[in-house]
Amino acid sequence: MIQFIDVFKTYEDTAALKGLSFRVNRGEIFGLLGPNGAGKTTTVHILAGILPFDRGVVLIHDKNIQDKPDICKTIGIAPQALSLYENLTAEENIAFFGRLFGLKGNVLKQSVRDALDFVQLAAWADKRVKKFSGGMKRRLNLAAAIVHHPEILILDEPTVGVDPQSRNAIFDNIRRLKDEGCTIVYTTHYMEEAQQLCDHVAIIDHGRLMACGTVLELIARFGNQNVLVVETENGVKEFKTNDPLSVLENLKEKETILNFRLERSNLEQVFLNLTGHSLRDA
Amino acid sequence: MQTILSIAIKDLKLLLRDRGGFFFTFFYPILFALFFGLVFSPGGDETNAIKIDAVDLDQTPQSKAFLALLNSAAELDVVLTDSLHASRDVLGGKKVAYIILRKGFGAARENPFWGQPPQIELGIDPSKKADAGILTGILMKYGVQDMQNTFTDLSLMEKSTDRALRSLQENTDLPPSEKNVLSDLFNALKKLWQDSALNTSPENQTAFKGFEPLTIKEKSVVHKSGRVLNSFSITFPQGIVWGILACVISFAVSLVGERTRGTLFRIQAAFVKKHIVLGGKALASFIVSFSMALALVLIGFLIFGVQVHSWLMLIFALFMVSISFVGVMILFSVLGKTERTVSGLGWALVLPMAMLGGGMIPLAFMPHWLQTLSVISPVKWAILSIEGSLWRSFTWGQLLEPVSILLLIGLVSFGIGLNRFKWE
Repeated sequence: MIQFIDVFKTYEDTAALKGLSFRVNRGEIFGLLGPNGAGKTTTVHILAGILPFDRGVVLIHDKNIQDKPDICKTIGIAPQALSLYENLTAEENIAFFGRLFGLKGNVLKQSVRDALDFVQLAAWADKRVKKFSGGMKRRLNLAAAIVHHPEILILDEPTVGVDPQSRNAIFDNIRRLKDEGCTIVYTTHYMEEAQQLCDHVAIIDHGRLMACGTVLELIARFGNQNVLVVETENGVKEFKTNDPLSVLENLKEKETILNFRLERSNLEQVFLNLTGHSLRDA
Repeated sequence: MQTILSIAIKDLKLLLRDRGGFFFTFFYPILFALFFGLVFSPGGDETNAIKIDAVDLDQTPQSKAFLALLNSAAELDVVLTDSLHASRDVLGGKKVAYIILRKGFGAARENPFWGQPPQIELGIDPSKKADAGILTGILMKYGVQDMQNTFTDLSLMEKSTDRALRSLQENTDLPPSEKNVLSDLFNALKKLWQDSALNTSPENQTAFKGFEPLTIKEKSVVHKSGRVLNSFSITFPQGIVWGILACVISFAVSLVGERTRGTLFRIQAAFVKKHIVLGGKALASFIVSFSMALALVLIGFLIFGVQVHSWLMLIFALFMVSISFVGVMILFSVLGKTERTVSGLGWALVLPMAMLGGGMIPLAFMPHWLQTLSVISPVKWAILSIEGSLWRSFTWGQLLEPVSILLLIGLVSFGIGLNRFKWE
């Protein structure tokens, strides 16, 4: 379990986090969403234990990371940038990062094999990374994060620039990790990914929590009403409603319905409703 | 320690697989040492003689004899020509200088005891002033030798003395007391020539030939074994230092590259301390520098006859040089935030450092103030400590000075680098 309690962080004269609080349950996929400059990266770096913060408490399995920083070693992180050595093979890359976490000997060999198997790159183990496609590099980036069998995995935009096949493969990997009991903190700009994968979602902006809950809860609280679009012999009509069946029943008695569709509110609408439509360039 | 080793092994693998980095670290210094070694090596048809033009406007036996003497000199490559061509050759940079023997040269040579000495006009390329000094010395040497030859011609000397006596008698400017002294001297000389002419034994001839202001016996200060110092013994230390400098830049850039690529973030996320990261980089850099330097010395020793005064001392010197430049590498790695900045700034610092330290041209050719300034360059101390254990035959005590300075530079640089290192 992870808990952020009233966390503040300032870079020189810029406040990145202004009392951020949220909670991540053990074994769930937790989506951390926010526009550029919202404080996602700062949050993730604090959680990974590599960035000190000014005020507040961060607990991992009920242990304060400021008192017991070693607890952060149970975390794996797959950064957004492909943090790999192009001139090393896939196996050498994973083994190197495994060694940094203290793995050695047969345990290291087995862990490297498992990680490469997990992301379906075992056949490419002895090939240099520079020959890999973007999707393969993304998967290897994930393998490097899980080689030491972390209990918590931070995935920072893990699907940026990959094709649909690789994206699906990465989703499968993430679901399998969850099934194996791994807690996953997932940051992304793709709302449909968060909607598809995450058990809980937190939307942050300007260093503050804007909303947190399941996707359905967020849509119910912050989404627009569903829109029923009906095509009749008199033309197309739109009805904002949460009870589309009643609207259709009433309409059927007055006009002949040729076609209809229901446009449901989604996470993207929630996101825009909470964070606004203005561009974020920082 | 396992983490330091892991980082070092990873960096060594990366270097070996990077063709550009590998070339500049291992092959470039060998090429450097070979190229300059061959350039400076004597042998072949190429000579180091100073090229000059000579113009004989006097056309007397004395002027011709003097030019013949210059022509036979190993230090000079003399071509006889006219004034116009001589001037054009020097202006065009084809010749270092020209000399002109004007009318009266022979007459002056015939009268060593009276009147002006023989004069030579020396026209020099203003960009080669150092050569002018050397050339003046060479001309003086052969001028004295020419005068010696004149002194061995006793009948000529007697005639010269007669002419000097006549000129003295006709002279009205000198005070009588001085005239009397000179007259006694010339008469004594005339008697000397006459007496010597009666006795033509080789010993007496030699006595006149022995009219030398200074006898210089040349001796090279070389290795105790007596082996001759070759040009590769001088260029290989420079090559080694160039290789180490390339290694410094290469590893400094790679450390910044870790930051920009994001791998440093990943290392940080594994809770590796910064001194461990820098230690790993330093170990890899040290291994490459030391092994490259040792390989270069072995190549020089086995193939090019580079002398090694003491292998133990040499290994110690290379060890300390490598340690020192590892510190410099860490310092360079914090100079900028991007690979391009560090590479640019690194080379911008390395080039003057090498120039000041004698890595490009030997320190002896530099002005005195630059030689004094060279103490701030680790390149100077690196070359000195390597040369000391190769052919300068340093004692351990003598070697201690440059290696202590190198160690100090290395430690201070490493300390600054460690202090200024930032993860992001």
